[in-house]
Amino acid sequence: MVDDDPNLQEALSDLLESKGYQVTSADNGVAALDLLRRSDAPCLILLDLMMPVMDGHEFLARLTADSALAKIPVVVVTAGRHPQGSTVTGAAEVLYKPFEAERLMKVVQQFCD
Amino acid sequence: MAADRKNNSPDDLGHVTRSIKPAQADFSSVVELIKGYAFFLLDPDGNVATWNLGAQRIKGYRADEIIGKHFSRFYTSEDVAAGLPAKALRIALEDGRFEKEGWRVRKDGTRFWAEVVITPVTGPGGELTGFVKVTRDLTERKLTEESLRQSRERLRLLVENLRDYAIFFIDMQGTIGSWNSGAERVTGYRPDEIIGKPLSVLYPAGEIEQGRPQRDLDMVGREWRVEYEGWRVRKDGLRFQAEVAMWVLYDDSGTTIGYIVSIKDITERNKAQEEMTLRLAAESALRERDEFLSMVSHELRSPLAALKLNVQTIREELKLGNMERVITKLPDRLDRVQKQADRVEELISRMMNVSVVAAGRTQLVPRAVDLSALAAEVVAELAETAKQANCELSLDAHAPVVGQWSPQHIQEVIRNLLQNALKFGRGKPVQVEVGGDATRAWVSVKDHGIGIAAEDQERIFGRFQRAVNPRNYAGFGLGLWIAKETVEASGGEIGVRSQAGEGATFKVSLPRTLGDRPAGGQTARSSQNDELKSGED
Repeated sequence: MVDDDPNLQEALSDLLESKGYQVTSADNGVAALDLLRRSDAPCLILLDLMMPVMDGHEFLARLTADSALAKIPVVVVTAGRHPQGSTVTGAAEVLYKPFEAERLMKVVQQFCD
Repeated sequence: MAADRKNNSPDDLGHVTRSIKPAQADFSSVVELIKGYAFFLLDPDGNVATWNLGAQRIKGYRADEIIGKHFSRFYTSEDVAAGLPAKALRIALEDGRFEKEGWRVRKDGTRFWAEVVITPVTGPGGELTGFVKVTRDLTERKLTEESLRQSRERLRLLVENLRDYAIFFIDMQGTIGSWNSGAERVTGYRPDEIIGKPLSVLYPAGEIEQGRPQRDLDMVGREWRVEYEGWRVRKDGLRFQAEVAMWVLYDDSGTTIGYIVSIKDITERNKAQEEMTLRLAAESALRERDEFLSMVSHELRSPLAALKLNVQTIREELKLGNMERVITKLPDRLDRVQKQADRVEELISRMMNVSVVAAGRTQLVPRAVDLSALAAEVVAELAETAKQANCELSLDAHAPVVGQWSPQHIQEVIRNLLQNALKFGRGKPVQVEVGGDATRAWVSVKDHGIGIAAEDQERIFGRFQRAVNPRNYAGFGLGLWIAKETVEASGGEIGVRSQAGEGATFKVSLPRTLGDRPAGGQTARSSQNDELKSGED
């Protein structure tokens, strides 16, 4: 998961790990791309949009441009509806914060089971 | 020329020419010089006896057409019917001279405005030998005068009928000398009530006391023209906002004879402008409020998402019945729940703070406090945030720096600066330093983060201003604005030194005692200060 909010990282990891998934976190786009290139492809990327260094939009653009990574499904997790926010292109799904754990689990199961 | 011609025909009127011979030299030169005159002789009955070029030019007849004809044909039919030609000759005889201006008729029937002089000519024995008639065409002068009169009349009517402008004349002492209907309408005074009164009756009492009327007179005398917006008083005592103009008035010789005063009531105009300004401010306040609410709700979503996930994770595991894991994990999870609830609470309190600052209702209650201690508390409070941001946070505040400040507001300022430093300087050290001298105290917060470009350094203290792309950093864009408002209300200053990419140092400088700051314990209301009120007092 790529999110700069450590509290959300913790909560999401806890939930997903309690369901038996393995979660690796990065707190911006650059760190995430670096991590992806160094390890095996995950079944799903949970992506925040507003982050320092490299935001979610740019991360998505770089990801889809990289043939080795382009096939990894991305679910955007965003507070959204920000005045300066914009539409998301290249995401399989968008979850708006705060979302239900159940809704998240369905999406994760769809891509990872 | 005409004289020559007359001399060339002495046989016709020998006796007449003879009789005026002594004046002939003058006569010739006059006729030469003034070609604009018809200069001819009439016989005792009023028939034309001689004719000159001036006469031909003015009246249109050639000599052969008119000599021998009665001079009454030069008169209008109305004048002829009234017996004016005969009357003119009679007056000339009786008084020795007839002189009058009036309409005369040319050969082609057109009229011209003539100045006519008829004088009788007598023979050696005193007998009447005829008349000298001099006619001058004054049509042009007459028309000029007429158009001047008309233009004066039009000007008078214009001034008279300017309903929204008081326009009047005052002499050099300021005594009112004329009054138009606009003046009556604007001030309520009738002409008979005000003409002869001093200009000062139209000024508010306070301005009279300060000598304003005389100053205006002096100024217009010196500068020829004075214009300003000010207050005037109506007859009924009501004050109105006026656009006042005064000009010097000269006579033909260029001597100042007084002043013209123009007063326009602009109360309505100003009211309309004020309403427009208020409306625009209200619209902009609404827009800012909407944007603010949108940002607030955005800010609240992250901690709420984490909060819900934490709770739902506990519930999910309870459902699975793995009680041992539930119990092992519970303290951590409850801590996180607590933390997210605290974050939500803090956001709400910041939001309320924004609305209080925005409304200019910050109540500063200064008391003796130690800036070092205040800074130490904030640093301790944000230690966890610093750890999460991977920032090494240090405090350099060895000695107490005591002053008269409102502690929670000063802490809020330090908190704002420190939170910014941790946000924009992630992963790098952040230093807080406190210092002071005899009269002032200061606290600085230094980060080694992304820095602020020179062109943004002023702007970031404005409301909803950020130097960064909101795609990268969350936040209200209000922290520095609140800090600035609070610091300035405390009589202090806030500034930043930074270069893009090389971190930033924010420094707050405060006067130690109440005497070193402006009076009053409230924040100065900013120019657009009524927005973001969360509720009424």
